[in-house]
Amino acid sequence: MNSIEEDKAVVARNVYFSYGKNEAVKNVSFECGNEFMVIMGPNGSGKTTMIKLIMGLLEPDKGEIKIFGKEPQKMRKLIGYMPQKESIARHFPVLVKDVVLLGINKKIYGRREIERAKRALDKVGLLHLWNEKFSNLSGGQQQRVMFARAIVNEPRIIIMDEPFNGVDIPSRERIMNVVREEKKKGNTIIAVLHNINPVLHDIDKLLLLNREMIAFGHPNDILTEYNLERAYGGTVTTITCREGYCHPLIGDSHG
Amino acid sequence: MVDAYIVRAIIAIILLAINASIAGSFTIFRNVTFLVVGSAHAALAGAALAILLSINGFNMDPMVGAILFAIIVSLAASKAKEKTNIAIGIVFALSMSLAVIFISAIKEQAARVWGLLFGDLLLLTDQDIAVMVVVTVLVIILSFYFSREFLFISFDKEGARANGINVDLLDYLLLSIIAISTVVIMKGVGAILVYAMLVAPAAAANETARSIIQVFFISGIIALFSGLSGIAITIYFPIAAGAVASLIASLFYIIFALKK
Repeated sequence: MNSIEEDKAVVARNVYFSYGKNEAVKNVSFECGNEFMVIMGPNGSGKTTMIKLIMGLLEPDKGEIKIFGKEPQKMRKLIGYMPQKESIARHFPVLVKDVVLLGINKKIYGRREIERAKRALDKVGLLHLWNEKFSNLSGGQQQRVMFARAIVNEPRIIIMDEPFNGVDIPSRERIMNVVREEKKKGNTIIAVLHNINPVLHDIDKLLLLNREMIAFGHPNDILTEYNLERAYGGTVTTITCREGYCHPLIGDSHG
Repeated sequence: MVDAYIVRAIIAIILLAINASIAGSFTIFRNVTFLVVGSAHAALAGAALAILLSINGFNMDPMVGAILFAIIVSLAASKAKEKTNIAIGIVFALSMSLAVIFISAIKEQAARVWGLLFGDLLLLTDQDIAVMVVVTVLVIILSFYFSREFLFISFDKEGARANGINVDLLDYLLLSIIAISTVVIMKGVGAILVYAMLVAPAAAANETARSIIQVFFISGIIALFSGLSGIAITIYFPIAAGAVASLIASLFYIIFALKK
């Protein structure tokens, strides 16, 4: 009998991973279904390592990760990925359409692929920039294009690494609208976020990391001063908004 | 009737322009311009070793040796991940040391290796052209077939990996293509000027082009124009064709960069 439920999009059980002697992720366990899950923690806490493990780009030293009950490497086609903006090259004239089409695993793009790419770009409201140079776009627009690339294959799981870093509010809202639509369609969205406050009300599950798993659950259950102090190594003030959500006031910046 | 050496030089310029367009553009996209310098100098060691082996009964075309050594530089660059330039620099120094050692062992034929340092478009043999044609066809086929993967790796390595592309293998292939093209161009203009002929046209095109396709197209045109101008000027003035071609290609970059 399989110990992992196949109906869950992502299941991690006691996952450990080290880069040589540096322990990056220690004893992480969580389950995520048709939800918007956020991974949060200070710089160097293993957030990006965790999403690489989920995508099967890294293999756990111990423990296991399953995507719909199977090895992540076999399920890559079901995942759409939006990398950190810092990892993207902007020094050559790649066009917006090129960026979105790169997400489609085809050697030659036909009418169907172009329609798909246009549909994805339309979802983020940038279809009019189809033939524009990617480097001419604002930071927020570039992130929207990268998000369009992540959803171009209509994936079951969308993984985003710091999608709102340096992004203007309208662009963030546009991406979040699609995230909500994707969730309604039954898909799973996982994001690494440094500042969760702007999207806190949308988060279903929060994984708080600092190399080891500090807590996992609904944000209101785990954003306690005790957990935040364990994660960030100092006192983190929280305030509760009118809607009853607990917002951590974290002042450090993404590095 | 046009002299055979002029015809060979013109064919070499066309091949050189194709390599400058494809490999030059990918050099700019992948941001590995130092690889061109490293490969060119490693190629000297390879050529010297091939000559040394040939003297000792193991017949080998110096260009084959040059290509093999250039590929070693691309392997080091690919393995080094984010420390690419340091790795290229170390292999560059290592292969130059080997080049000097090998050259000192082939005293009588050392001029053949030093010839590669400066190159000469007008001294190319039919065999040189044949090797250049074969290598260029290989570069065209591989670059065309893996164009999406090469572009993806240059734009966003992490995204390419997540998309199921074997980034380590294809990045190595891309860097090897650049190294191989470097040797092809080096045969015409020499190790010192290869940087100008491979990198400058694509760098100039990158400053002015509005799309990826335009970069390939414009860099090819610049390389072709520079090369043919070099030949034309050489016919009337006693100046090295490769040097003139490299000078014109570099001027294109300066003009486009200033215009931007």
